[in-house]
Amino acid sequence: MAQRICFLGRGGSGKSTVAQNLGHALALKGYHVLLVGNDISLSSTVLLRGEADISPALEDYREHYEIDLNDYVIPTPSGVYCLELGSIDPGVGCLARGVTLIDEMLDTQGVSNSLQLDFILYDISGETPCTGYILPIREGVMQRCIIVTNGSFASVTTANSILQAILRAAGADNFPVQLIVNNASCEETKEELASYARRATIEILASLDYCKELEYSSLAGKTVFDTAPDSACAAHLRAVADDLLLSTIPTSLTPFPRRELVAWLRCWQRRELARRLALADTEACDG
Amino acid sequence: MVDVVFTGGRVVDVRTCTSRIANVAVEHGKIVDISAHELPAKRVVDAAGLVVAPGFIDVHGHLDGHAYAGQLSAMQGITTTVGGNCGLSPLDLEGWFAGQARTGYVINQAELVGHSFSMRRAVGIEDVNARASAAQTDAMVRIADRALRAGAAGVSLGLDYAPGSGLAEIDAMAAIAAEYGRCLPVHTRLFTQNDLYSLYEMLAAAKRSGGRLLLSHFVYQYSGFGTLRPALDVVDAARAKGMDVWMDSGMYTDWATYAGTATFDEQTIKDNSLRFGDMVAATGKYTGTRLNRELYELLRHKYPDESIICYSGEPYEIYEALQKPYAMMSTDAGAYAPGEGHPQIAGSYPRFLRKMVREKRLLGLEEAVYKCTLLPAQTYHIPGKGVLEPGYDADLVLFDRDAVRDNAKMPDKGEPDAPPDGIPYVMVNGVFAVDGGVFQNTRSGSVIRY
Repeated sequence: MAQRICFLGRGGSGKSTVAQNLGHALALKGYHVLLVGNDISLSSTVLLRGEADISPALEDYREHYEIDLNDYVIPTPSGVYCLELGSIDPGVGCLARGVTLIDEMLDTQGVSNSLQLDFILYDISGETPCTGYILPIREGVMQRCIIVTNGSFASVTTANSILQAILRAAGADNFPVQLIVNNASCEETKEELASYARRATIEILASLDYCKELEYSSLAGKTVFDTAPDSACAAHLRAVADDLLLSTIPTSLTPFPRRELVAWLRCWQRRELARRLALADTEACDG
Repeated sequence: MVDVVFTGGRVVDVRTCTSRIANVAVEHGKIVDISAHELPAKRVVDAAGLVVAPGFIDVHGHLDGHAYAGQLSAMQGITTTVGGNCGLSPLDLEGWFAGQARTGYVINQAELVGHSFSMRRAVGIEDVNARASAAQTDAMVRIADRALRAGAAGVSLGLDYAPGSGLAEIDAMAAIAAEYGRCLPVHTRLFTQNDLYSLYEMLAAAKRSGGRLLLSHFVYQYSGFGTLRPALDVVDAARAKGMDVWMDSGMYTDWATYAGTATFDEQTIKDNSLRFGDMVAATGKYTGTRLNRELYELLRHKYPDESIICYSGEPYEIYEALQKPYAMMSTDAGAYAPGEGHPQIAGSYPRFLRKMVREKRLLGLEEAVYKCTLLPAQTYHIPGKGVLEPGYDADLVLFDRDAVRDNAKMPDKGEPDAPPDGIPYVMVNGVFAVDGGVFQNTRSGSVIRY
């Protein structure tokens, strides 16, 4: 049975880039990986499949009702299999069971077995953890969640509300959730996020510094393992993939209530301002 | 000399959606003549000023042989009911049909075999959120097969009540129904208010099976939250692609079901933003009482078999749905004690005629009658019914177009089982079940076995 891991987080936090690079890293280690995206841009798999065309499965499902997912899963040079679901028709219905439906079809249509999948990575787009968004977790489809956040307040706010939704969905059961801090701009920001993680009782799986190789590989439409396999960035991502193989101990999550989160973000903002003013003073003194 | 002749009524021809003043003669349970002639008869009923229509065929009921529910159905003009809906039915259909034929029933009954409560329980699935195993699915197929061979009208699904049902078991149910050329009525499952995949998954199953799909009490499923119109668009598109899909609906948006079902699960209540204050107990000692958390807990845990009505939806959406050419009337009527229940058990058809024909003029009289008679008869391939023609069964309803009205009210506002006005005669297989507006306690209904 393939392990299902979903990547969640605010748009722009880099979760698709992270998911594709980690998927590639797992494939390089010999694992059979399927990456599933559900963004209307079909961008969850673009670094892996390059120019190769891909048809969004849910859009065809809504049109034809009967689809064979084997026709929608495409192999890529990276070794990672890719599947794009597409989104809802704008303004019509909701994601609802789109993901859980496809997940069940992967089993009933024999895709998981025929590809001998070890991992199915879901890159789930969306920022408001509504019922449909959280259903795959509540219905027990996912075995693990990874929330990706960068150092922006908006991204942290989204991460916190996703945590709240997971906590509500999982009920009394502790659900394995980890955080990936991506592109945090400076040490202080990383410290703030580490402090958040401690208070919210969420493990940080990885803290990924900005690296030029990753940015350039993304701009080239590839993963860092294609463009700079010997870079430190690639090595770090390989190590994160190793950590992904380790089982995680679910903790009792303690996301911030909204008021507390807002107060905490204000404090962070003030500390950030103070740091910058001090830096400016130092620069003035230096001048 | 014929048995009965109805003279001077407006006789509806549902094949052409026209009507004319004529006399209808009945003999030995069959219609024998429709003409301007007044054949000598043992009894002559003056039908002047009345509409003479085929008896109504209710494609979505839960009467299952219940006496009082049958009485209320007959009094609103129903002469045939399809029971065993929403996945809840007897499983030994051979025995059930024999029992009903032996004891007799006021109206005709076709019966479905139900998946989501009945078959799943029979194969040992206790958890409504669990998928059936391959072995359990095979066992359910064997049960369905036996029931269909015994004459079941189709296989019913109530996926809201077994939300964990797997695609494989749904496919298996669709396939066995299609194999026998029978209908697959489904109470769809919605995980969120706007869950249109509830429709797509059934269209997928129907497409694979090639069978006929009937979307049950559509307005109860999709009214409110702005979902009805997109849901209708999905059905329109499916029909445009040649899918054999139909729908039924009653005349209310406020739905009812048992307190102990997954529908009234706390999570479902949260997901659909339902409020306790919008719910009212429909049966038992708390009938007519609006719920609060305390009463909800009590009913859910101590009285799970009592019914709760949930105020919901937008009334105008009923009209929008029922105007669709593929939409037919139904009640969702069930077995309740006197003084209890949902007004659908007594008021659905008179309300349909009052609101959609007389008051709002959204449907012509004949088209409205067609939606209560020939359309359901064709959907379920019921032979000899749904039409007034010589040779057809003498199932008739006579109503006063200008006076027909529902009197049944929600249980917190009045009597849910108050009989209607303006339906003086209902005949089932040539016998008056309602005569002069009075219920006759007859048992002339037959079982309809396929």
